[in-house]
Amino acid sequence: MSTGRTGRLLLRTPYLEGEVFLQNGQVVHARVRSGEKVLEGEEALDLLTGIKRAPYRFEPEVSPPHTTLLGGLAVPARLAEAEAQWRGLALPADWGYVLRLPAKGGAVELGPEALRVLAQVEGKRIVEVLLAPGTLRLARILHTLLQMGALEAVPLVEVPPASLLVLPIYGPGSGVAYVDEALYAEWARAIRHGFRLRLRPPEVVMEVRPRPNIPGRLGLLEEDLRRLRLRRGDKVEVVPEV
Amino acid sequence: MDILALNEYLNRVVYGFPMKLVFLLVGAYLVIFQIRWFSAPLRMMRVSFSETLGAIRERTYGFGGQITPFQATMVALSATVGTGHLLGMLAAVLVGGPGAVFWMWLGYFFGTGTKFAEATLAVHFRRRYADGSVSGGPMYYLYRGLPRLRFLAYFFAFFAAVAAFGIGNLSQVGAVGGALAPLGAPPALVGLFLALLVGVVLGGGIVRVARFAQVVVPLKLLLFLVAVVPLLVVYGGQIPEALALVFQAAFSPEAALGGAAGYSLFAAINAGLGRGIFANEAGLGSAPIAHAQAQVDHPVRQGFWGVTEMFVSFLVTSLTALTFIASGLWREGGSAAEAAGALFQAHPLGGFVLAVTVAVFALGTMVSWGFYGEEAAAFLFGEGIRWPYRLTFAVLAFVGPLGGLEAFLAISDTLNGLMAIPNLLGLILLGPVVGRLVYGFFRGEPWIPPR
Repeated sequence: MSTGRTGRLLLRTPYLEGEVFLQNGQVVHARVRSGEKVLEGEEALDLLTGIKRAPYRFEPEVSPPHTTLLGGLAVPARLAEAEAQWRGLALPADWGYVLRLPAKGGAVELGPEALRVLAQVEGKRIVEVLLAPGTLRLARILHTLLQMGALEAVPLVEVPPASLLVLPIYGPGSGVAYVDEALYAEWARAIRHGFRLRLRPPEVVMEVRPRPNIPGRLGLLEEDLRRLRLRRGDKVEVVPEV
Repeated sequence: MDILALNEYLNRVVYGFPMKLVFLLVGAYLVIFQIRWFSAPLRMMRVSFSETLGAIRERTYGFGGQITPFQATMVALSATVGTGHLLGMLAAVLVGGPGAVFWMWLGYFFGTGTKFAEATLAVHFRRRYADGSVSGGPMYYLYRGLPRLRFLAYFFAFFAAVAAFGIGNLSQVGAVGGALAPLGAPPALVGLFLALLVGVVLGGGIVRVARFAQVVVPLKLLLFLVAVVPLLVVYGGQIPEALALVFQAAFSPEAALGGAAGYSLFAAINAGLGRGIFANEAGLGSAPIAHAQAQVDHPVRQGFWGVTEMFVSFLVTSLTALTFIASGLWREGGSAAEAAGALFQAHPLGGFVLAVTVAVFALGTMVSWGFYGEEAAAFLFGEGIRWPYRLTFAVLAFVGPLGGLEAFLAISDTLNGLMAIPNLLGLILLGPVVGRLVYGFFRGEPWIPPR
């Protein structure tokens, strides 16, 4: 900024696109967009400060469409303040994660504002929640809800279901489904989070583990085969879920 | 001692009674101490059926390799279910009497352990190549499993590569030619057809051999049923009697057969064990070459397919024997070919069905043995030998029906018997590996191939 440059700093992540406009070294406009939602000005700057990693590009000599920030020392001060606040928050680095109520219930005490947020965020991505007036306040509430366990953030899984043939695995234990190492690795790369396996039919969720040399097969322990009324060679559709 | 006399001596040793006892003892050792069929017999039986007959509907689904476990078993069965199941079985009853069938069953029972161990070890120690193809069999499990006794692997491979020309080729083309001659088929034409067929099938590698076997084995079984069911209908009333005679004559043939001449307990055991061992090839080490090709996640799964191979072979030999005993023709003596001719006089299609069945049985055996010999030769001399071996095999198939190769046939027959010596030794020494693999399989552990 001190070089007095003019142009546009463009940040692009899979879930949002941010722009910061400089004019003669002064930050004069900030804008964040995710889908239909747009945020501008100080709120946008607050949000951009919270992004931990993002690819960026500087385009020189691009003028701002309009001015939403006053420039001067107020902007760096605001940035420092926002950064300090973000540092105290522990939100997932990937704001593409989806928020959901945890499967296991529990008792928590929430204020009216947190309750209102909680009622509205189920199934939304973090970025969608934060992309609203009062970004830092919403981030604080999300942080609290996640810390208390009233909410959980999980990656959005967009893995197509796979059709596998049931293969008996003879041994003790139950509740574990085995898939080929290569398929497991493919899912693990796509999800980057712990995941389980949903079998349909029957509609059950099981722990999943990799096993060598079983491409196209779903290894199930004998006890599970009996419990699920499945037998060797049955076709089962499976989909990983977090 | 000239070479033919030496061959005759060796032949008596490798097919003699003491050797049959060795086969039986090795099978018993594997069944009782390593595989432990008896530790949970019902569970073993259930798993065995689930892994094989229960997996028939997924026969076209492999585990990502070249051929499926079902196809590998078809290749093995194509070789195993041969003319020995028809004419050989009749010969055993003619020599040993009905009691021979009981001893044959005993041979089959302990043979399941041998075949299971062979198939399991073949998959465990097979070699995988960069293109996804595999090679395996006794030569590989002897070579990789017993590094200090690698000479056994070379001996086995040599015996198998040469024996395939005799037992797997000349014997079979002789059987096809002999069966089709009464129907007016000229030997040269039969030879040409066999040479072309064998050349084309073997030329396609294991994938084409497996496809061929997948067709020819069901055809064999269908033809066998067409041949045997009408006879079962004709002699059906005497089957319970025949069955009773099998058990009575097993221990006291003289008493059970009412003083029928020439039948002794030794003859019954010797002839019965001979069929119970050599008909199904358990212990000879030929079938594991096919089983090694199966793409499975655990070698023990293929071991169960080995048991199924035994089961199919058991059904064919037993039905043949029971029909023959029920007909009462075994009392009249004579050669196996004469007895077969007499037996099929009662068949509505007469000798025609016998001729076609024998011809198809021999044809399937020939193709699978061609593959076995090729694999053994490739182990000895490298991949470059495959095409020369195939061509030699096809040429022999052409000249076989013309005759004149009796001495070579006799030597290769001995070499076929000699294959069992390194193989059985390997099975004893590698028995603990089979035991560990079975234990791991029933603990749900994944298979880790040896490095």
